[in-house]
Amino acid sequence: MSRRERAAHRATIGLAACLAAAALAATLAGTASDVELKQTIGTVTAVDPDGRRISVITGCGHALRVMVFHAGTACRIEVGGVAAPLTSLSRGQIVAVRYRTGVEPFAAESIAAPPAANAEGER
Amino acid sequence: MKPAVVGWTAATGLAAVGLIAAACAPKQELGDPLNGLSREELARFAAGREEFEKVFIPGTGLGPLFNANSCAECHEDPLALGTGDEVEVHVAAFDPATRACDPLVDRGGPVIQQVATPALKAALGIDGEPIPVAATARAGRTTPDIFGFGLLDAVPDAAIEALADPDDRNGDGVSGRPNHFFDGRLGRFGRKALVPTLREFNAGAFVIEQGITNPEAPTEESIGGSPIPEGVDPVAEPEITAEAVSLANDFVRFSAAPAPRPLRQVECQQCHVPALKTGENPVKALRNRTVYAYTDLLLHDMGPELADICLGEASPSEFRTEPLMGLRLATSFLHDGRAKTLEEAIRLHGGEASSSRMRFEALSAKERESLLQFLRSL
Repeated sequence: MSRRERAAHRATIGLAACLAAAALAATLAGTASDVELKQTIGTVTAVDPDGRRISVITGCGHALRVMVFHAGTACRIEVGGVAAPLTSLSRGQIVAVRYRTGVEPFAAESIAAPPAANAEGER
Repeated sequence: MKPAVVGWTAATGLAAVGLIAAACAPKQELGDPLNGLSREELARFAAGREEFEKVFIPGTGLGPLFNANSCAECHEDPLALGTGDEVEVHVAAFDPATRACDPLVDRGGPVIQQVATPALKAALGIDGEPIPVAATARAGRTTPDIFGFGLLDAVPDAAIEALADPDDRNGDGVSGRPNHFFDGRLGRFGRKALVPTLREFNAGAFVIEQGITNPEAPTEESIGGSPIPEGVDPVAEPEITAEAVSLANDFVRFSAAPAPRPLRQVECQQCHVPALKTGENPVKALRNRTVYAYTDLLLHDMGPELADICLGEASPSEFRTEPLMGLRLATSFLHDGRAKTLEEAIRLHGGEASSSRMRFEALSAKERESLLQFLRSL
């Protein structure tokens, strides 16, 4: 990837993070009547296997937000490109979540994580 | 030749070339736009100043919790983009056993808003946001000047990563490492280097500092994690447009760095790297430019005496090397303003900076004064 491409990539992810926060806000405010498919990338702060919920911290600058997702049985979860159970995710892991807005907690359609080497630790 | 020496020699050469180029460029005053901006970019810089200096009131979106009613309320001295005397409060919870860091987002953190609008005060009887009980530390944060921060934004990630030495492989006792945002991107802005880009920092700052929502940061801050009472925030979200954020950002991004002074070798350049170079950029005035920022934009362990909050991957005692460009504008020093003089600030450096502090203390009085005079010129 060239420097220019990396710079564009950095800006794109930043915009995506901010827009994901925007989707969260619209839903919380009750102004989003239409369900939209969104994606956000953030760090796992909690996993609730019994409630099939996962909490992810993301945001825009220092305006940080925690997004809660429901990972139903139809949700595709992958770690390092391999299908995995919800319990394979853990606090500190970076995940990309595709989800539907409109209903709280948001319904995750897919959750993808790199190999679990970055889980736990100083986050 | 040791890597640090090679780095210093390269930086000196780069800086010398840059200073010659700077000497040939039109003279710039503090607060001027960058040289080489297009007519359209200059117009955005001028329009952006208006957004930066715009004063909000509750009827235009201010609050209901906030720290300031304008960007320029804090960044004001000696003019817009400069320093300010406000000291913010940030909080977090750090578990030393697991090294897990919780910025207490669901309890109002990490930035505490210290002022409430009259409507919020009437509803809840509070003057500002309460400090979360779960906080293990609170941090004071002064207002730095932000002249030339567009140049820092334009430094490629790879240039910052190249300065990192997390395992101290060169054995110089200094082991800088980058912080990363929660999505994994390299961070560089903020005292803990959490935020990857200037635009995100500014868009987020509208909300956390002024309570001004915008399309990129559209949610009002909670009140210690609790929702805002009905009726105290009459303006619908978002309270400003994306274009308003863009203009304010362009005012910061297109501002010139404080004029560089002649470089000299100091004992602090392992972290306060004298010069960084920007990379490719759509804005010609930001492309392949040298910025005499005196920072590596990396985290360094400053020792337990200065430790406060964690943030992202930054432990309580790790701070980003503060850019020294514009240091002549500062009236208090270190991240929380605890040092009232430059000399005091240097003497409070611990951790990885201990050896630099000891070298400073070993200087003769005349040498120390010479170094301090140089620093006051930045």
